[in-house]
Amino acid sequence: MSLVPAVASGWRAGFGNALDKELGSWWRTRRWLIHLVMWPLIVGFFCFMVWADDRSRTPANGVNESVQLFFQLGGFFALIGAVLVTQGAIVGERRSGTAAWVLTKPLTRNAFVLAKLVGITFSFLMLSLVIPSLVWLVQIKLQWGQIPSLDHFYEAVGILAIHQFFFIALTLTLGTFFQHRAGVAGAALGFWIAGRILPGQLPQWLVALTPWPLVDLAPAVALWRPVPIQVWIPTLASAVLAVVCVAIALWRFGREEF
Amino acid sequence: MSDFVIRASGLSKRYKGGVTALDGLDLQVRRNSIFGFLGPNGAGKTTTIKLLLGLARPTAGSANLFGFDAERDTLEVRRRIGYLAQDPRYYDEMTARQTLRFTLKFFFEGPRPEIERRIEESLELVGLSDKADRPIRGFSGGERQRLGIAQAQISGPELLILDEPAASLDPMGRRDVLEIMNKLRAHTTIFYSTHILDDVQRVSDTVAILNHGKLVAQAPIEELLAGSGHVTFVIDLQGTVERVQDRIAALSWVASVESEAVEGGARWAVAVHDDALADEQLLRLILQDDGVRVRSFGRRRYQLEDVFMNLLEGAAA
Repeated sequence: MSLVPAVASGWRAGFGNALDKELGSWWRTRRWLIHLVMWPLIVGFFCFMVWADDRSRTPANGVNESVQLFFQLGGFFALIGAVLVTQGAIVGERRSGTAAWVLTKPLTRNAFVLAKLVGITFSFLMLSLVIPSLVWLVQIKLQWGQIPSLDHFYEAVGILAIHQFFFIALTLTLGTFFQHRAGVAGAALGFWIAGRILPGQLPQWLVALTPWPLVDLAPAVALWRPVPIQVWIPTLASAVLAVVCVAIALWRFGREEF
Repeated sequence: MSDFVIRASGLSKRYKGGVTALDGLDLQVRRNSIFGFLGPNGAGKTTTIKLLLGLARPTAGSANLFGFDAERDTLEVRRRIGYLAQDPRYYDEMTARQTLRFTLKFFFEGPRPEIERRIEESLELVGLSDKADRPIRGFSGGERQRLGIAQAQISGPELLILDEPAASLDPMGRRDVLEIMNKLRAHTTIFYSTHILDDVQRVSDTVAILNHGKLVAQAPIEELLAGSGHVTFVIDLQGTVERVQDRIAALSWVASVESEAVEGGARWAVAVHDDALADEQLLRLILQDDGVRVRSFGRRRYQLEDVFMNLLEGAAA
């Protein structure tokens, strides 16, 4: 049997191959191993400190504190990680010339951007959130002899995943506008910092339409505590904003000249 | 099927700030030719290539490749093209083999052994078989260029676009690249930009010369090298040449005879109106005089450099 022309047409032309390359840059190099060790270590270390600090507390209290810590750390370190792994995805390739090279092949610009989005989102969420959450559950079980309700815990993990996805999409989009990684990372992290400063000065309804409340809502959801606003509003709003970011990225990159 | 793989009409590119990189380019590239796209640095060669590949958009005019519009049908165009950039960049963490596999999969799908066979053939063509599994980040400039040619031709494209394929190479590397181009010419059309005139003269069959974004000339290379105006014969003589010179200059089909002294004799440049008649009679007429000996005789063949400089100076005047 001989080779046949690749059949994908429209925006999908080249998507499968570009996605395979993106996934390969995570899973066929040592990158996955570094992330696989790093994220559980960060979360595990702090949760171990909670346990070691005061072993006299009740298991329920210990689990609650660990849950709080897991989501706060996940919302902080993993967010910085998401920005760092995405900042060069577009800018780096534009500056190095690899984007211009690969776009001379039968690959659409939409496929180029979407392959990056899917490759980074899947790999990063698996390595920084899904796998660490499993490791963390084992650790908590060993330390405290019990684990939080899995339904609520993974509902909260889902909320955090939406939060990370938004920042990946935002960073990718900024990469289509900026010429340097520093600008991309600075703007993305600036938006996150704004979320720590501005909400007290803005109307609550407006804050609820941003991803800013998600990091604080996630542990509350995991612990089934009352939350000040409907959880689904910022979650849905963040997903919609992420999609808007992606649409802007596709529009901007489609106009790019090399 | 059209005889031409590229037809550009009034193709222009003006950047923000008013810089005109390309100004109304009309270009036709015949199928199965090796087309040398010549011009000094900044002439607009790379801009033209980017427009053909859909990496940039024209501000006026259009380009048509294989009957497809370069801007509107860019995907269809790129399915048929292999491209080597002036300064080729790849994913440094990949090996040469991975790069070729990545490239090929944009064009074809099929059984892995067949894909690997195609990769082996390409590596062999450019002499990179022994370095196939090393990361590209350790490659020299010449090796990157070879890999560039391999990835450009691996899909068996109808058109190869090579941007300054030999510019950064040493003489051995240049020779190798030109040899590879010669091997590929049987299967594909090659459109390549360069400012190395020697290379053009060695491998091209058609040449276009670009300067300041404008086309100065486009013609088969033999036509360009023959020069314009009268055909000129160059003859080195010894002996008493003055009397013969007057006799030759008086012939009706001779336009002029210019003589200059060279070591041990004279060199004539005889411009003629009828080169066929001159081929037949000129040498015989000179030798009718016993006092004259002819050391060499032949048509003047211009070097591409002469043609190039004349055209550029003519365009500037």
